[in-house]
Amino acid sequence: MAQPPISRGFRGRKPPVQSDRIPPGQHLVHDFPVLSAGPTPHAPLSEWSFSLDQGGKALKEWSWEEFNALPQTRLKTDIHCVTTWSKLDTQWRGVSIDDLLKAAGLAEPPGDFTMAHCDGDYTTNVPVDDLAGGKGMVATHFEGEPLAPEHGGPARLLVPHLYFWKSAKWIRTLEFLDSDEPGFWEQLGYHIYGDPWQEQRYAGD
Amino acid sequence: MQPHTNDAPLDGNAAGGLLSELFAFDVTTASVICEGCETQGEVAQARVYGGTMGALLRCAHCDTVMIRLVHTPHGFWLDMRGARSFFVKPPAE
Ligand SMILES: [Zn+2]
Repeated sequence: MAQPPISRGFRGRKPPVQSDRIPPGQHLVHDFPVLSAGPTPHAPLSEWSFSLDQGGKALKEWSWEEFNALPQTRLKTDIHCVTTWSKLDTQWRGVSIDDLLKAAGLAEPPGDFTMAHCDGDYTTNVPVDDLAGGKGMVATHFEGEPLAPEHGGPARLLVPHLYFWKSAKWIRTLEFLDSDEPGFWEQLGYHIYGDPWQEQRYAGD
Repeated sequence: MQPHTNDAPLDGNAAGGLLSELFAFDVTTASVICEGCETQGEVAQARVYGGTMGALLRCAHCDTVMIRLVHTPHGFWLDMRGARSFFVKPPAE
């Protein structure tokens, strides 16, 4: 799982840590730690679907094949886990929330807030403003390879500017809501928003 | 990087230390009835997930989250909605 930094061998020594990219209280890692709220699902892709929901009804649903036919977005970004590791320059591919809305025929997001629903009864809440406008995607590939199950494959939410528990693994539904509601960890004392640069780890921070 | 990994769950004993910070008895010796499948089993038989974010004890039969416990700098958060009831034996004489 551990991947050496690209071109480290050419320089012969570690590049200096770019502290302006490491939020307060975080440290840099080069591996990709696994943290799961439940067992890794291994359902066949033929049974996988993804939907945009509102009020308990699907606005649009895609099969795995249909989902992969949607416009693809590539993103190189830093990620920050609340357990204090940060990883720089991770490369992702998937479908942006903007393209999902467009493909569902929605001119505007049908609510100001969302709840991501995932296999294993995991949920997390993210405001629409933190997903639309190129800020979030449903990712299916990591470093050029299909996303591994332990890292959230076949598909996970990716909201890299918030703590990584918001980038929900094994996402199946993005539900639009009129008001913000706490998700799985947010009901257990973690911060409702989770901005790593404000160090919003816990409720009350 | 074993300390970072919780893909393979530990059993309920792994959460014993954290639970005993909150409860006056050893909760891992209690039995619990799962809200999801109504199976009764020892807390020690539950599967623990959550890594360093918290202790999530899932039913070994149906994966329902029975106990959720997080220790933040501000205090403990405990959610037992997935546990219907507990049976605790009195301490041995
Ligand atoms: Zn159960």
